[in-house]
Order: sequence, then structure tokens, then C-alpha cells
Amino acid sequence: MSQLGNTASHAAGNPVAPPSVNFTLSEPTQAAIRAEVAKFPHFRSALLPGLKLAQREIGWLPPEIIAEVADLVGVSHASAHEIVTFYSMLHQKPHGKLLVEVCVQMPCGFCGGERLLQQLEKALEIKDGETTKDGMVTLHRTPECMGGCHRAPMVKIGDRFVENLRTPADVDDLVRHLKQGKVPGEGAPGERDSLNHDYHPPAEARTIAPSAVGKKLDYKPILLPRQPRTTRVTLDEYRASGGYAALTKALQTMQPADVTQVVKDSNLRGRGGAAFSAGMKWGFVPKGPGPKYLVVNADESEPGTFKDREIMEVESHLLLEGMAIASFAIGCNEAFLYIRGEYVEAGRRMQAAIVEAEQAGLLGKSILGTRFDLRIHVFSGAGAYICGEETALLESLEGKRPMPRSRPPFPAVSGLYARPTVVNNVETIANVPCIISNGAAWYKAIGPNERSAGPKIYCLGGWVNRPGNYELPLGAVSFRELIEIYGGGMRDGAKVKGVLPAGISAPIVPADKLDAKLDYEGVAAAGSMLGSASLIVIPEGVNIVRAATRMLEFFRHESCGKCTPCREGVMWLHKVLLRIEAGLGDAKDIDLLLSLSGQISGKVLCALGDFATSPVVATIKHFRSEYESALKDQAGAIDDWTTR
Amino acid sequence: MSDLVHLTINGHKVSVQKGTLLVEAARQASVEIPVFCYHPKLKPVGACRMCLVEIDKIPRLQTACTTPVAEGMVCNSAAPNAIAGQNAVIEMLLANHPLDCPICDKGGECPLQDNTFRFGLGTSRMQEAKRHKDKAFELSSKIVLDKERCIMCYRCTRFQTEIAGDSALVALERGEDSEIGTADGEAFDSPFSGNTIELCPVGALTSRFYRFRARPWDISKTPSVCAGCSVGCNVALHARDGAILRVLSRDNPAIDDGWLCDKGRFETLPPLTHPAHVSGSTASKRPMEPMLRRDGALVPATWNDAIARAVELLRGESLGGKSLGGRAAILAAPTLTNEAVVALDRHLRPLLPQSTIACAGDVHTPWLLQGKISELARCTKIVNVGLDPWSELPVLALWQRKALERGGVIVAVSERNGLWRDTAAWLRADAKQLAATLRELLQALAGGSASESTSAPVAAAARKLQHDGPGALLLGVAAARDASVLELARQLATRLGSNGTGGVCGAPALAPNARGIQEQAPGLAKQSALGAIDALLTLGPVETTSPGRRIVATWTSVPDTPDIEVVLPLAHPYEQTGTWTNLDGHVQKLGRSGFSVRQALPDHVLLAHLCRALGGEPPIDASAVRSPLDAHRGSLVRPPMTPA
Repeated sequence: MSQLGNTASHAAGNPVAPPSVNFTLSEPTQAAIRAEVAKFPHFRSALLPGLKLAQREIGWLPPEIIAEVADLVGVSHASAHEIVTFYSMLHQKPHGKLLVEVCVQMPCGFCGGERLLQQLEKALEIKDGETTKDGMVTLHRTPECMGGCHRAPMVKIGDRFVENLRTPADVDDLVRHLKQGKVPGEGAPGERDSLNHDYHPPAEARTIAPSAVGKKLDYKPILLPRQPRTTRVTLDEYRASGGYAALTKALQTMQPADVTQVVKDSNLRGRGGAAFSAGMKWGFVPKGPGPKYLVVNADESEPGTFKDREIMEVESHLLLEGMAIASFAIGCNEAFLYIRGEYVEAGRRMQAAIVEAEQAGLLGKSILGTRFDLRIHVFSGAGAYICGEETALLESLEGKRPMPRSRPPFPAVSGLYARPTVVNNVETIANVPCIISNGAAWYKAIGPNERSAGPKIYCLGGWVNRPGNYELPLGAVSFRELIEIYGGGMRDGAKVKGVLPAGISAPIVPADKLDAKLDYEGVAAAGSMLGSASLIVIPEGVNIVRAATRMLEFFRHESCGKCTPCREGVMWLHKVLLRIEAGLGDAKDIDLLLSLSGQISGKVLCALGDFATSPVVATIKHFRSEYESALKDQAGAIDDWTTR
Repeated sequence: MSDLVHLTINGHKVSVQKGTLLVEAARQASVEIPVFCYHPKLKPVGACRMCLVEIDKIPRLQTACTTPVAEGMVCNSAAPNAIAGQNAVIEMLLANHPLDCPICDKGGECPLQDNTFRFGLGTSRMQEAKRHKDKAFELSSKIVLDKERCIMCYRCTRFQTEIAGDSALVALERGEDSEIGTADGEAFDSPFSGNTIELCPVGALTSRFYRFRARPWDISKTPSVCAGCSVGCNVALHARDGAILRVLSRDNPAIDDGWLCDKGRFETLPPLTHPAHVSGSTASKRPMEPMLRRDGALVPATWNDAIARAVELLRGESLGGKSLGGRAAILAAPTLTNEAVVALDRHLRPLLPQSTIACAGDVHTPWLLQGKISELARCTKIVNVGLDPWSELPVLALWQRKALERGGVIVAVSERNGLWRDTAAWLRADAKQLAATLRELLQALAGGSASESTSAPVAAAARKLQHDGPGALLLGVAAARDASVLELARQLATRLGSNGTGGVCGAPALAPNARGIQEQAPGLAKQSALGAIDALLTLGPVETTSPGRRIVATWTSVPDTPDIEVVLPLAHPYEQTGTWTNLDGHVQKLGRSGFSVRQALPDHVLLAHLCRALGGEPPIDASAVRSPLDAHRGSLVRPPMTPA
């Protein structure tokens, strides 16, 4: 690591001459990249995995390495460059041995992420973006959520998450490790969990016991039956509890069309946010010859969302079984699991589960002795929220810049490699085995509303005593019940200011609508969307202008830049909010914010541009007076998360 | 008629072909829908969002550039909602645009200006600081990029990927940081890069040669034909104050489909002579007026004196005892117009019976091209033998790439192959190996692929060529001089079905009017040794080392060597009228642009003067000259100049 430049001195205007090292890839890395090229149906898909392999070896991506990967994959140097510059996890500059990324997005931001960053800056004597003098630690403040919201605040160090850094003592412990070049929990297998590479000191012990206001439902979880387990369920354990029975039933007793019909009859709606009928989506796939693909969307990047992470890390085989059944239904022999780059541990565990399943004849050639073959590729992203949009995800898989495609054609007709493709969310696919095992009627009976039935994982995050994933029948509880009964009530007895029901993408639901039921219709009636059901509970006292600014920072950071209104407009919105935050707003700014939001929403190609405006529009709608007081003469700058 | 779709656009009823995009249907209904990213020759991308329109029964505004027409569709681009959308996009595009129109090359011919006037509000609410980027980033020795002006329409990058196929220019970064560029430290290196300047809808991509030289309203435009090679791409010559400053494409769907190569665009212009354009040291020594050698020095003369002296020399008079046999020779450059060929061959030759009259350079081919080059797009298999169209006849390479879209294959049997990305098989063979490789390929195609002597690459190439449908075989003119290669190539063409309907075959010569010269005067095209001569007249830029007195008629600089007796200023092909015949037999008119050398004479006029001075009958008028071209008269009809 002697080639590391000191970015701190770069920032100080005292450039260190770049080390004159000629970077080349080692033979094993070259071989690994060649293996990636051979692995995929189209060589270009190996571009992103190849670049990640190169970065793993070198630590960053100097131009000559990018060119070397491009040559190995067989694309122009410029084509590799357009990929490298897009993803936030691919680095064109060297960084310290430990890259510490501090999440300041909702909910980490108001749960202490900002304070955590300040503490680290002080203790390490560097600012955001700088590297310690010994080249050990680079500090990076990121507006991008990393999916550790239930253990907020958190940091990501290289491949690993360090979570639940709630107290100054936790941070001191982290700093002590960092100064020695170590990551907490590294090396010594934790007693809690030898498979879990993420480190999170027990937090629940410190939280105040909830004042329960109601009884928990009599419901036995189906998707996450082993909570609070954090280790991966092995194949033997999974089979011992009836796992892969649904796949056996489907392959040995059902026709593909029957499987699709059962899923259609079950009213399973997509859990990624759009809530489209999964069975109908499968039914759109044309029957003709030629390859068809199943792509499972595990690019869980919406701030406040961490449900797919737990399914993949713990119930890996449940997801694999669902993928196998879905592939059988649509006639797919090669399926892809696209996992966001930050979820390194989830990727490792899924890969380990695939190896187990292949060895047991549950994946691979002639599954369970039938003529059905299935190969599952785990494909790891590299830091881009836009890849959660299904067509952008397909572009990313194809080794192109992940920008949404215009529809039609829909992926079911022309998706991955221009072939019929079904794209489903992890949780959607995890629902499939129980539907096949127990039938559509059984499934529809779960929950009060049979039009949108089944188990649903609610990601409860923010200012509650027990944040986490809660699996409940869809629509069985209200916001208030979830917060009070399951979340253990509000921390420090605080009042709820509002709840963001679908990460930061859906309009905020104010405190007076907390009795709305948590299903698609109920949340819609409360003026918002259930989406992926990632609830961020915001307490009284959080400054709404700061919250909106932080949310817009996320969308500005994550806009792919394809559509003019999103690329330019979201940046503009964020600049206006920053100006208001700095105490420099003027009376016309509220109208300007609303007008610009209207110029973005509905005028862009994908839904993400629309989402970007809801933090502004909804917070102005419900908390206009806070904006107005920020705009008053000499209101002064907003310097933290609290209201004045 | 069943393929027609009926719809209403802004109240106009229109019937268009099924599959037409709404934006094109609107053009047919004389409704202008503003666009930036849309270009009829590129695939729609829907990025800029300028073409937002309202469509009945669809709640969201739609982009007309990505929406195919549907029966009964009612579309309104002038609905208040649509106009608000268009206003919004303009405001967003201009939010960070530098608005430096007064110093921008594009000012006056800028779609961003035009659309702002017609579809924008003319005001901006942006009070934040604009984004600053490189203003004069040198992408290559030909192109300068202004990153601030760029509106990210992706026309240039799509051209390089879809049309040229080399992905030499790409989009970098994401969101607000998006910009176009290449790999770090690499130039924008493509033989077609100049097309991106024309495609750019703003002043972001500018020509280094044209930059700051003129404004659109200073320019006079003349339709003509490119002097770069025998493809004969149609061009518009743009001149200011008599100096030709740039060459733009002039879409001819039968010849160039709207594209030019960089050689034609940047390297065919006549040398600049005006002091405003060239500084003293780099001033061309292009002859500005006739000159004679008197008392050992070249001095200005009248045209009458110069012609008289030239005739004396050609007749072998006034040579005194220095005569080498009284023979003279005339060598013409292969840019000679058909009119000049007739004058030279039929009018001048009888007047100088002793003389050798020939064309210099590769103008003769033993195998004229059969079929039209536009038919290459429909060929299912194309074989290039000893020819690299990418570098030798670049626009022909683009025609070949169009065949790929329809599933065609390209096979190269050559030493160089610029189309390597797109060739299904490349059998590397230098001039000496061509015959053997062709023989092997023919055997493999004849079913002899089982024979042991067939190498694996040849067998693979033969398999790729097993397609029904028309084929093409293009042979390099140098390779065609080898009789055995020529014969084998003819056999291969027959086997590929290139001789039938729709096929293309032949060995095109590379010089601009090679085919015209060969068709009008086969004798001129044949090379012959000059032998001992007393005097030599060269027409145009001709390299020669012949002994004897020289009469030089040219537009290039003339060295001051004592053998040059007479210098005659000749018009550059872009400065004269006349016709050229391109490689597939289209006879096309040259246009006269530029008058910086007022004394320069067109080639056929100069030859007419010489005829008269030699006592012969000069060709009387253009129609008499062109009578031999009657067979091709139909192709003289050109599409009119259309505004860009």
C-alpha cells in the first residue's frame, strides 16, 4: 500500500507528486477476469465484475488498469471509463488503507450519524474526504444509505459494516481500532455470530423497555421465521424445516403454466414498491424458443430499507428456492441475482448457498432428476441507487451505464440482452415457495385484504426503541401499532412528527394519520405510498428543512443524469434548500421549490425523478410553517437536525 | 394500405406508416415538435424530454420521440400542459448553460437558441451560481469540447456507438457531473469523429479548424461532392469571403446517408490564401496568377502569354538544340472532371499526336463496381479482400455496418481491418497470401471444408458465409492487379451471389473521379511510361520526377525549381463546376465555391483554352461535353439542399 497518495495534502493545495508506479494486474486477477468473461451470455457483462476484481487487487483504478480490464473484456477503453466514472464504489483516486464511509442520510443522519462524523473527524484529525497522515484512514461522508438503518448510526469500512454506533464510547472503540488499522470485529470471530462479518454491539440491551399499548398478533413469520437470528441458515437446516419441498412439488407435479397460474391467483404483488401482480408479470413472457431470463432485484438502495439484506443473509435458500420455481415457471435456465455493491456479506452468503444447492442437485443440471436446468449468477453492483430501477439494472448487468430505458418494449418482451426477462424483487420471490406449497387460497387468507395479501416485511427505522424488520400480514397493523407494539415505542418518549412510509421516496405521513393501515390502499388514503414498506419514523424536534435538504442531497447524488429535469432540477432544488438552510432564503423560495418540483415530476423517464420531488412537496404541504420561519429575516443558518 | 395508421396531431389528421414515431408523424403533419436528443438516423433515447406532448387517455406527458403512433391516437403538442412541460425543459436546460451565444460558433444555427425562442419562456429563476466546467477541452487534434455548453443529449456518443461502432466517445460521470469524453489521457480517435460536430445541437463540440472563423450569416453554402475518395459523399461547402472554411454533409441516402469521414471533412479543403486566415509564415505558395520563367525567374504573366508559352513547349518549338525528340506529355490528377476528360481525350489528344496523355495515380481498375453501395445495407454476407474500407473508403465501412443491423456478417481477408469489432471472421493475409487464402476459402465454401488442408479459421469463416440472400465482395484495387487474385475473387463473388440482384462486387479504384475517367477515356486511365520527353504538362497535384520542361497547372504550392517554365493557377475541385462519377456510377455535379484565387481556371476551361491555342476546336458547351454521360443523366438529379 506504499503507493497510496495522501488525499489530505491534495485537498490542502499541496499536491504530492503521484507515485511513479506502473500498475499491472497479477496473473490470478487476469485469470479471474477472463473467467468472468466466459461466465456470462454476453462478454460485456464481465466489465463491472472485472473492474471490481481489479480494484480489489490494486485498491483503486488508475487509468492503465482501467485500460487493461477493457482489453481483457474486449471493449474500448472509453467504454470502461464510462462505467468506472458512474459508480460511486469504483475509485479513480487512491484512498487510505481503511475507507470509512459515514452515512448521514435519513434515518442515520438524525439518529447520530452527523455527530458520529464530527467525532471521527476530531479523533482522527482529518476532515471529510481526507486521509490520515499515516495513510491509514480515509473519511468519507456519504448521503447514500447503506442499508444498516435498523442499527443506526453506522459506517461502512471497506467490505464491512460497523453498526449501532450510538454512544460516544462506541465511537471511541471504533477510533481505537482504526488507529491500529483494524476494523472492529475483524479477525476474532464474534461470539454472537461467527458467520456475520458485520459488527454490531448489542443495542437492544440499552434501549428502554417499551410501554406496550397493545398485543402482538398471533402470527408465525413465513419469510423470516428464525428472527432474531443473524447467521445464514444452512441447506441442512433449511431442508429440515421443510425447505425445497415447494420446488420438488413444482418440478415433479406441476406444469410451468400451472405455477404461473397459482402465483397469479394468490394475488402476490411485487414487494419492490410498484406492487404489480407477480403472476401477471410472469404471464407476459412470450412462450417461443430462445433464452429467457429471471433477474432478481436485490439493489436495495432506498434509504431506510434493509429487508432484502436480512432475507439474503439469513434465509438464502428461501430466495434460491423461489428463484428456481420462478425460473421454472417462465422457462428460464439462467437467472441473475443483482445485489447492491455495498451488501458484500449478503453476496458471499448467497454464493455459498448456491454452491450448497448445486452440490445437492437443487440447482445446476437436471434439477431433482428432471429436465430442468438452472444456473444462478450473483452479480454485484457498485454503488448506484438508479440500479434499483429495473431497466437501469438490466443495463448495468449488460455492462452499460445504468440509465433507465424508455418503455415499451417492457422487459418481459425485451429485457436482458434484448430477451424476454422477468425482474422481481427479493421479497417477492421469497414469497413464492409458500404459495406453491400451500396454494393460492391459503395465501390470500393471510391478512385482512385478499386483493393484496400475504406476508410483508416492514422495515422499521428511525427514532423507535426497537428498529428492525417485522414480518406481518399485509395490512394487519397501522403505523401506530407497528411503532408502539413492535417498535417498542419512541425513543426517549418522543412524539412522532411524521413517518416516511417508503424510504425517502414517498410523501411524509404526518402524525395525525398514524392510524392508517399499512397496506397499499391504507397508505394511499393517508396521502402517500406503501412502496417497499420502509418506515422512517421522524420524531418531533427534527428540523424538516434539514431533513428535506438531506433527502434532496441523496437524489442529487443518485440522479443518473439522463433526463434533463431530474439532472438539472434536482440539483437546483437542493441548491435552493441549501440556501434556505444557510439562512439566505427569500420569501419566493417556497413557491420556487413547488414550481420546480412540478417541472420535474411527471416529465422524466423513470419514477426516481418523481420520487425526488416528494420530500420537498410533502414537507412543504405538512410543515410549511417551518419553512416560513427559516425564511424569516435573520432567521440564521440551520446548523443541526433540531428545530428552533 | 393496411400498414397505415391514422391519428390526429394538433387537430391535423394524418396517416403514416405503422411503427412511425410520433415526432416524425408530426413532421408529416407540418407540426413542429421541438427536439434535442432525437435524430432521425439515431435510435431514440428519450433523454432531453424536450418533445413532451399530451396524448389523449394518457395522464402523463409523453415524449414524442419514443412513442410510436397508434390508430386513433389524438396528440396535442400545443396543449397548455405540454407547453408548460416544454417551457420547463428549456428552463432546466438553460439553468446551467453559460449563455455565451455572442462568442459561440453555433450562435445563429443553434437548436438550443431556436427552441428557446419558440418553446421557452425567455426568463430564468436561477439565482444560484452556475456549474463551471472546462470551456475549451481538446478532445482531439480536430475537435474541441465546451463542457459547459453541453446539454447531454447523447447524440455524439450514440453516433460513435451505433453508426461508427467504435465507442470512441462516451458519457462520463453521472447526474449533474455528467459529461462526454474519452478514457483518461486518450484522444477522441475515430475516422468519423467530425460527424459529432454536426450532430451537436449546441456549441459544445466544435471544429478546431472552423472555431471562431465565421458566423452562420457570413457563410455562403454551395452543394458539391467530397474530393476525398471515390465514394463521392455529398457535401455542402461553407465559405466566408471566398474562403472555404468547412465542409458539412449533405444527406444523400443513396451514397453517404448523411455521414462524412474526417479525411473528407477536414483534409480536402483548398489551401487558404487570404491574409485574414493565414499568417505570413504559413501562407500557401499556391499560384495566384499565371507565371512564366523569364531570365531565370518565375514572373507574373497574362493568361494569353502563359498559354502561348505552354503551347510552344508542348509542340516542342523554341527548344533550340536542346530537344530530346520533340515529344511532350500530359499527366492529369485523378480529380479531373468528366468534362475535362472529354476535352483532354477527344479534343486535345488529336492535336498532339506524338504525346503521351495519361492520368496519374490509381485510376484504372480491372473490375468496375457492380451494384449500388446502398445495397450493402441489405447484404447478408460481405467479404472485403485486400481492402480496408474503414481507412480507404470510410463511408463504405458505415454502409457495411448497416448490414449488421439486419443480421448480416462481414468477413475480412486482408492485412488491415478497421472493422475488426464487427467482422465475424478476419483471415489475415498480406498481398502474397491473398490468392492462397481465397483458394482455401472457395474450397471450404464448395463443401470441401472436411478436407484436412482447410485451416480452422477458414472453415469458421466459410460457415459464417452460409447465408441466403444477396452478398457483396469488395476487392482492393491494388490486389486486383494480381490476375490470379482477381480471378479467385470473381469466383468468390459468384459463389456469394454478389453478381445477382441486390449484390455488390468489384474492385473500386480510390481516386475521386477514377470511374469517370475510366468510363470516358479508358486510354487515359491506363498507366504508361513517359520515356524521354521534352515537356510535361501536369494538371492538378501530380507527383512526377520526369525530365524536361514543366508546365504546372495546380492549386497546390509550386516549388521553385528551374525545370518549371510555366505555372498556371488551376481551380480546386471545390472551386469549379463539372461532374464526377463515383465508384458505383453515380454522376454528380460539383459546385463552385470560394473565389480567393480569382485567376484560377476550372480544368475543362483551361483545356479548352489549350485546344484553341493549339489550333483545334474546343468543346463548345457543357451539354456537348456531357453528351457521353447521357446514359447516367438520371443520376444527375440530386436532392435539393435542405436546411440542417
